[in-house]
Amino acid sequence: MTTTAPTDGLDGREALAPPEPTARARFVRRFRRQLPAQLALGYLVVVVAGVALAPLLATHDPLVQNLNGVLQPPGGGHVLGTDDLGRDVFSRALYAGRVSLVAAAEAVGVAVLLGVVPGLVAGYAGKAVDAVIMRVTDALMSFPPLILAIAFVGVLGPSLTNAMIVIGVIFAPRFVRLVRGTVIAIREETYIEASRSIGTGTATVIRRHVLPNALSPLIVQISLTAAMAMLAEASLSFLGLGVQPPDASWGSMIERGFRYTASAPWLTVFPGLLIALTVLAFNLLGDGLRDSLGREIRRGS
Amino acid sequence: MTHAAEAETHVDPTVPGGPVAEVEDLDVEFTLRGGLLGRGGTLRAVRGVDLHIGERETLGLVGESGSGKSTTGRAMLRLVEPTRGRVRLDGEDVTAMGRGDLRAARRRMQMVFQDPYSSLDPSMVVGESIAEPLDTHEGLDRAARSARVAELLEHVGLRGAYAQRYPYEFSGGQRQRLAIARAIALNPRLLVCDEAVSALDVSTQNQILNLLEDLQERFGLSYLFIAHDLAVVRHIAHRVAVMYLGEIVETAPTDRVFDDPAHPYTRALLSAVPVPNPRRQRERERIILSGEMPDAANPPPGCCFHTRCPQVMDVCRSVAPPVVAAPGGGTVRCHLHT
Repeated sequence: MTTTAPTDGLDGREALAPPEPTARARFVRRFRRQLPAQLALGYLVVVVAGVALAPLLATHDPLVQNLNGVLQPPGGGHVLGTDDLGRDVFSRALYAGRVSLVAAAEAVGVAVLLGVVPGLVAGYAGKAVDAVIMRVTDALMSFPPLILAIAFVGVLGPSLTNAMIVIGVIFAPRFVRLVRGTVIAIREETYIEASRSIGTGTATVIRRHVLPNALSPLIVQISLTAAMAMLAEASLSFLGLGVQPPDASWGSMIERGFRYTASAPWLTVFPGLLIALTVLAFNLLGDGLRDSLGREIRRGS
Repeated sequence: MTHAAEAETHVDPTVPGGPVAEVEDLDVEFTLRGGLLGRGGTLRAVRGVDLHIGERETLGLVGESGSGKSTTGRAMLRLVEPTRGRVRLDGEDVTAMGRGDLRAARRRMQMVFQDPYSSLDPSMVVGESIAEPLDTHEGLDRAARSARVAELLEHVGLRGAYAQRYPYEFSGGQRQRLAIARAIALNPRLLVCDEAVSALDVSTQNQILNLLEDLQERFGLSYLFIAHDLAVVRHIAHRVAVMYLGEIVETAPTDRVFDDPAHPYTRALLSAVPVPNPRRQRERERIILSGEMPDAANPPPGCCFHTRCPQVMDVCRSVAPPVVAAPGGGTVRCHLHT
């Protein structure tokens, strides 16, 4: 027994597929198979670029009124028509998109910031720590998000930022639960025990093994939460509790155009379409990411 | 595979300078969580286990699932805390160590786990997993670190270039080689192999066993080889300890256990292993154990095996048998020999 490598054909030196040196290469290969997610990503890139370049793309000043040309249908000098004060709907939609997307990002940011660390701690520590964190989370989850947001806005004054922070707090338990669940599953994996048996400290185990493996579901959840935050913003703005005139978000544009649904449907249809498509895109992207980020199982053999 | 022929080539090792690992009167208890209102009881998974493993020796630890063999291995490395008893590594008391000493001692005792599919972190390249013990204990610079990883991969029969691959690119046998590379990275004294080949198919098992034997020779390793497959144990172990319900019921050199088992439980285990010769297979006596292993939370009085023993006597039901020398070598815990 002096040779290390066995000599038959099933030895440890059997050929492997060509190398795929980085996690990114692996992700790109798998993401290429997700057509809906790619379309969604393309759409989101266009939307984000559009609202970011709003000053360049806008055909008119979004705030300038033209009372001689109210409720003009799409076409002519105004691509998407004008609203009840004669403002250009296309230009307003571009600027409103900024408000809507930033609002969604605020809510998601707050939710991630408040959710991830407690989730990690609850999942890894378990026992009493877990119980305390989860009961607080349960209490938070029992609030209806919109009603609480409305109450806070009522107290703090109508401000979209306030409203979205509240929405973020309400969404945080989703992240606590998700991260906790993922961490509990990861904690039972043999590679955690293997790492402990080597003598690795707890902080290093969490940083090296737990966090990277909990990342994929987190990214997926961020995408899905962004969609929900968009809808929450639209709902609040529709109720007049979000952004204040003369600024607009997609939700508040629908609210303002609602009164003219019969005579000037373009006031509600276009922002509504933008909201619907963006929410759909976030959801499709989330699904695609889930399928390309998760653990890959060796197929065949 | 001719395990019988290969087993004879093992020379029973002499033990210079005392055993590498010693276990004395080891107890591990788990607290059971009660129901909604009930208070939980305790489960003694390991009950008064004594073991010793010499230099370059492989001790096979066999028994049914639930017999406490894995828990014994984990308690020796203090991955679960023993409730009572001592574990010594090169004469040093592992059970009495504080956190810092224990961390330092971990470099001398490592583990290879059963499931090669979950023992490597899927999110990092395998070179990083293998380098983890080096990062924790040695703090090598980049060049020395990657050179050592490549060297370890070669030791286990893989290419050094594989360090940049992800675990999912490897087969089960290759992954177990990777896990072994990680375990030997710090030149440990003791390797606990917990069902290290049970998840592999037979031809791969054989390769991994040969690799383990080869590494033992080259690096002077001692193994606690936990397995339920007796053929595998016969192939690799110098001595065998048989566990039942948390107790070691018999321990002896491998050939004595397989040729002349002293404990009725060992006989029953052996009779379940098929013999390659069809005539002998037909002629030999099969001992079928009735019932299941008793609940470890509620062990029977007297001898723990009396509920299933085909040769049970009255004394077995009330008096626990002492450990006595078995005819032909080793020890046995059975009233038939008292």
